[in-house]
Amino acid sequence: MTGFSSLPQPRLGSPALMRGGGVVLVGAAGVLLPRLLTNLYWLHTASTALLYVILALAFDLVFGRAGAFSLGQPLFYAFGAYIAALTAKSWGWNFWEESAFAIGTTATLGVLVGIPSFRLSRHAFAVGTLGFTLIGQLIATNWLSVTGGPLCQDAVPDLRIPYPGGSFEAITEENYYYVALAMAAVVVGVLVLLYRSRFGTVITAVRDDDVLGAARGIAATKVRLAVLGISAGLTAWGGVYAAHFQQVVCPSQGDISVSSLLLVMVLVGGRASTAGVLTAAVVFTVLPQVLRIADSWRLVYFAAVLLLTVIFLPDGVAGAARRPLAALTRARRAGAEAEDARR
Amino acid sequence: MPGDDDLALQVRGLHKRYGGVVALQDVSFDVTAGELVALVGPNGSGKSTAVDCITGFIAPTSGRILVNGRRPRTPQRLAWHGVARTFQSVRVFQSLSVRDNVLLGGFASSRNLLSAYLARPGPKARRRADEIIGELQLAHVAHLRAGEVSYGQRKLVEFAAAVMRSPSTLLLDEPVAAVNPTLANVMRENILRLNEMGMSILLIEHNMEFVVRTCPRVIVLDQGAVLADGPAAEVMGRGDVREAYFGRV
Repeated sequence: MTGFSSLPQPRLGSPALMRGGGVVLVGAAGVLLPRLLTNLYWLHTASTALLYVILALAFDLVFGRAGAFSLGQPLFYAFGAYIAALTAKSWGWNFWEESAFAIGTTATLGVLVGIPSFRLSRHAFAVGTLGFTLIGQLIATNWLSVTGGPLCQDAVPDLRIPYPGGSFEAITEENYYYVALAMAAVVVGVLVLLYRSRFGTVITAVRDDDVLGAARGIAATKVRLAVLGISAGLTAWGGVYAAHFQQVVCPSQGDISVSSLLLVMVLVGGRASTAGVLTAAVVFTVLPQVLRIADSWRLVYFAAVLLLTVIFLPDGVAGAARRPLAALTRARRAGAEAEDARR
Repeated sequence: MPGDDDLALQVRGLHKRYGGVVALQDVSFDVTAGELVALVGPNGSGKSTAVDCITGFIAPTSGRILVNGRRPRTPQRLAWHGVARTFQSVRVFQSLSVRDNVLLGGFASSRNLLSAYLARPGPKARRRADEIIGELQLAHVAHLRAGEVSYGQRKLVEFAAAVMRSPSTLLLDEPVAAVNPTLANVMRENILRLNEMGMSILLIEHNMEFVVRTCPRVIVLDQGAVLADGPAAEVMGRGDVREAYFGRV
């Protein structure tokens, strides 16, 4: 539950402590993974999975948390990727410069896309943002002098991350893996802090009931615009990474199929569940590789999983897992209250 | 006669039409600062439309409304100027806990917009929220999601959130509708206590026994117009008011 209530101190076996333990375990596994994976193909897949963690969490922010079904994510992703490719190739910008510029301009683009789109009803909002994505892809395909059109922007240089006293250049698969791991950790950290802040509570409130929000003094549209801006910025950051990692940026980067994949990850993982979405992003990147599913069958597979999830697990895997945990917490609290009453 | 500065609410010549349907016609009344007034009337008489106009949720066709001396341009602005309301159909933030619902009621009492959106409520706000939760007998469900508690408890949660920031003017739309007598009494005691502390309250209610026991003054709306306005016992004894409620006998 998002909120700012004072929480009880963690006890052994308490959900808070279990969550903390889980974070440490996942972090340790993430750091040690390149030592365990000797096959470069799987290391590449792991980096792709981390890229999708960033994209899926950014999508969950706007869709799962704020309730706005944005189909503009491919636009923001491609926009960030083109910015990184163009600025690195033309002006030799480093990672920090590209990131700051891509996040700032794409967040602004997100707000500009949101201003007309949020005037539409909730369902029409999805269609409105889809329109912007299609326009973006048309521009990417036809503005040959800038994007290279169908010939793409290729030969994107390797990622250069300067730091005081030196510079780190990502060259190997392992280098790229650790950059993706660090970026995913930063995104998770930023979002967890956001959800725990009052703004996180306000986002949930706006999703639940914007009429009541207005009566309480909350400007729902401005909150949603801010959320779409932040989500667009984080998605563009994923695009920055993808441009260097894949060393090529094509109009297909902004294809609507990116949205369908993110939708599967968020719905199956569980809307508004950071852990659930993170897990689903990894599973749905790795599983098709493990099962060796051909590209032509991938969409059929995703559609089947999505249908089964919507029917049998409407709150996603995280929602199904949360129910017994919530019942356990309630039973513990009821027990503690009864004990207090006896004293 | 109270001056304009003493008025919590001033409604003059309020009209509201939906196409050919007249919801309100030439409605005028005042609520003095610190007054407790009931707005009653049969179904479809325009009570909730009046409250929606007063709180800026719908724009009137014509007329003048001043709430705490301000025109209600948007509900958000009004909330920031010390006006709170509840709704006819109970509204709570279902995914948030009862305590978070109450804490969020204090949103518009923050120092500025930045602290409202970003700063977590301080110990003073938390103490006040717990106090209100205790007074409304919600302590045992404070940790539950508001969507999980009973209808009557949700009514209390909505009320608690509305009074969290001690608004100067409070509009309650059917606060005890479908609420059991015990919870209705809890609500009544709290309404009276807040009014004694100086809060101006406009109460929209169908439960006439509750209205007569709670409010010294009653305004009756019928078919979108003011039918009567005066002391509760006197107004409720009038033949035209009884006829509006129960039909011609």
